[in-house]
Amino acid sequence: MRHVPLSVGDIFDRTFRTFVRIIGRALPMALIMIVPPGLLLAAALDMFYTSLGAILPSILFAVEPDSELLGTLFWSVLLLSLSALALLAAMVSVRVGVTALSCAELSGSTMSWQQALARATGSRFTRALIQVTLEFSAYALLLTGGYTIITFGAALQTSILVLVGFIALLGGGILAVWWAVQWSQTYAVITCEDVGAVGAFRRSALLVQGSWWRVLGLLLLFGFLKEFVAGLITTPLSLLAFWDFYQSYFALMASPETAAAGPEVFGQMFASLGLGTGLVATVALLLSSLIVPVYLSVLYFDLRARSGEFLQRPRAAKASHSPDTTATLIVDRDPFGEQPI
Amino acid sequence: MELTGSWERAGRSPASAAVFGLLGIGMLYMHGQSFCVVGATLVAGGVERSGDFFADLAATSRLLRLPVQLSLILSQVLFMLLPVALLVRRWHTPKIRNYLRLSRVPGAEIGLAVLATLLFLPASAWTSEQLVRWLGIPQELIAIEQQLYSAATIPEYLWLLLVIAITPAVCEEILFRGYAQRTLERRMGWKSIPVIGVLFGLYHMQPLGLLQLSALGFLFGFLFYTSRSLLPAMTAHFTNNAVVVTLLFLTSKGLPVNAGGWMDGDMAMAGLLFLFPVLVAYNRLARRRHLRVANATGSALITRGRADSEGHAATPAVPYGERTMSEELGREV
Repeated sequence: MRHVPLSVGDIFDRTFRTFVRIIGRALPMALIMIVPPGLLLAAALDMFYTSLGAILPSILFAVEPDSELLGTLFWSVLLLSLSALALLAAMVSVRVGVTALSCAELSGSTMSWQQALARATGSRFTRALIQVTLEFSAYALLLTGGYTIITFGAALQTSILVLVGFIALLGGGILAVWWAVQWSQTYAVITCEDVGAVGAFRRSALLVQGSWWRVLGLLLLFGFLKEFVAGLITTPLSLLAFWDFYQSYFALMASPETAAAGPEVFGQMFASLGLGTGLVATVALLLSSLIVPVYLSVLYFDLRARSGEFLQRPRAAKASHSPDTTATLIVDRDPFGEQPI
Repeated sequence: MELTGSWERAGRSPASAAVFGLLGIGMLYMHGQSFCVVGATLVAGGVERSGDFFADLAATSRLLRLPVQLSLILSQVLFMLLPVALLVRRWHTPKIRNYLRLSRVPGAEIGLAVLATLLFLPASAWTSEQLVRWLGIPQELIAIEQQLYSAATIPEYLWLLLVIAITPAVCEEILFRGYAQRTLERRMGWKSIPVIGVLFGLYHMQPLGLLQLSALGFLFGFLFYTSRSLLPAMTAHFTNNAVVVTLLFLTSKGLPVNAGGWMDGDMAMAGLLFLFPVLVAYNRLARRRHLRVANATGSALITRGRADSEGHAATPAVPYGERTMSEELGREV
């Protein structure tokens, strides 16, 4: 497959075509990886909201809550944290798998969902997980720095420190955006080029070099579109997921005297939120994991073409007859094109 | 029709044009409408709180009625109609009306489209009522929502027809059927009807109305696909919305028509039973017209499985050629 720099329309078109071609293979892999931790998260959220709903009256009336209920709440928080981590790891894994499928498709080769699953759980997954952890730690450090200074400034009642904190927060935010765009290609680099976690940062930044604003614009555009798609699907799903909650809410609205009966009513409403929240979050994450890697992979090939990685100089014998400007475009440094998967 | 737009020249897929066009314009419209409504709300100001939740809500609804209605018209024209025209011109062809199939059809087809919509309405209203009952939405809330669509005087009624019936019928049909379905049809044939129908339901962001709106989307899609003109779908859409506005107007005038609770399951079922023969008749009329045009012009309009203008093999289900009826007949609306 020939790779040339793409226009925005080409990027749209190629993203859609790639998505259509891989969705049949990406979906089973994504379901296998995301549904189990998603269900675990839903169960944990259900347990959390139920115990919180039961404790709510004690909190409102400032009464010592039942120790058994507090124990359940503690375990539910622990389970919630573990399942959320498992779900995030599953998301990274699916993104690696979908990136592998997309890169294979864009390189003109094919990959089965089992092969993608193997890739999504192999060494590339470990490297992607390390890279994601490092990346988000960097963002957290950047943003918490400013907050810490503001908090100290407020505690010491020093306006200048608060101002410095705000400037640090703003600067940190700008730097975080800068890095996010620079590191947008790390998944593709780790998956397609077999680069290590730290090397992926450098390689991604190198690819984005010279096209930073363009990449930012495209990431924003695709991000908005993805959110819109997720909104279209999760809005009706939310009605089903929160049916009990809405029923209680409307019942409360219809007869306000029920609310005066006590905070137990609100506790019950609260308890009905858990399972639905978990299910909607899982579906949203599933959609995001299926869509994002596809357009990032298309961008990755576009950036490589833009940095001239697919350009091959004509052979020496013919070089004298043809100037460099007529160099042909061929697939180069393409792991999927060179070796069958 | 010569497809000379940038998307066509680049040989890109019509399916991706339909998907990204619909998503892009949908996103623009949703955000644009939100800005318009927020702006209008800020201009309109607030109401004095009385402490009664429903009374306050009703007062706010009355205050915001006109600004919200103006925002609806403005956002539909600015963020839906205009972008579609620009998109067609830039991506596909300068012949916007031809591309969107804004072509005339005989009155009988329009009549059947209106009849089909009227027959579908009882089932739609009945389903809505059931869902509202299951969820236990308070009647006070429904009444407040209906304030937006109810008119007390004739000029107000005509204004509401413009806001609720004419504008959405034109703008939404041009986006969903005229652009999205027509573009997707080049790749998917009849399968574009359910795809765009479901998207039509989802785009309204009304979870309780998803089922009914998707079914309406199917109906409008069928009318558009069969006649290869946007006019029947527009008329059907107008009929659906106008009936609601009219019923609410008649109710406010004290006439014995109750907009709520006027449907039962039997009436809904009967409506659906009569709907199918009407659709069959509509299909026959449209096909006969296409055959007549094909014979008159000597063109092979009814060609199954013919490749489209870009060389993409059309699906075997594509019943008619790529050219619009307006091109064949040489007349446009």
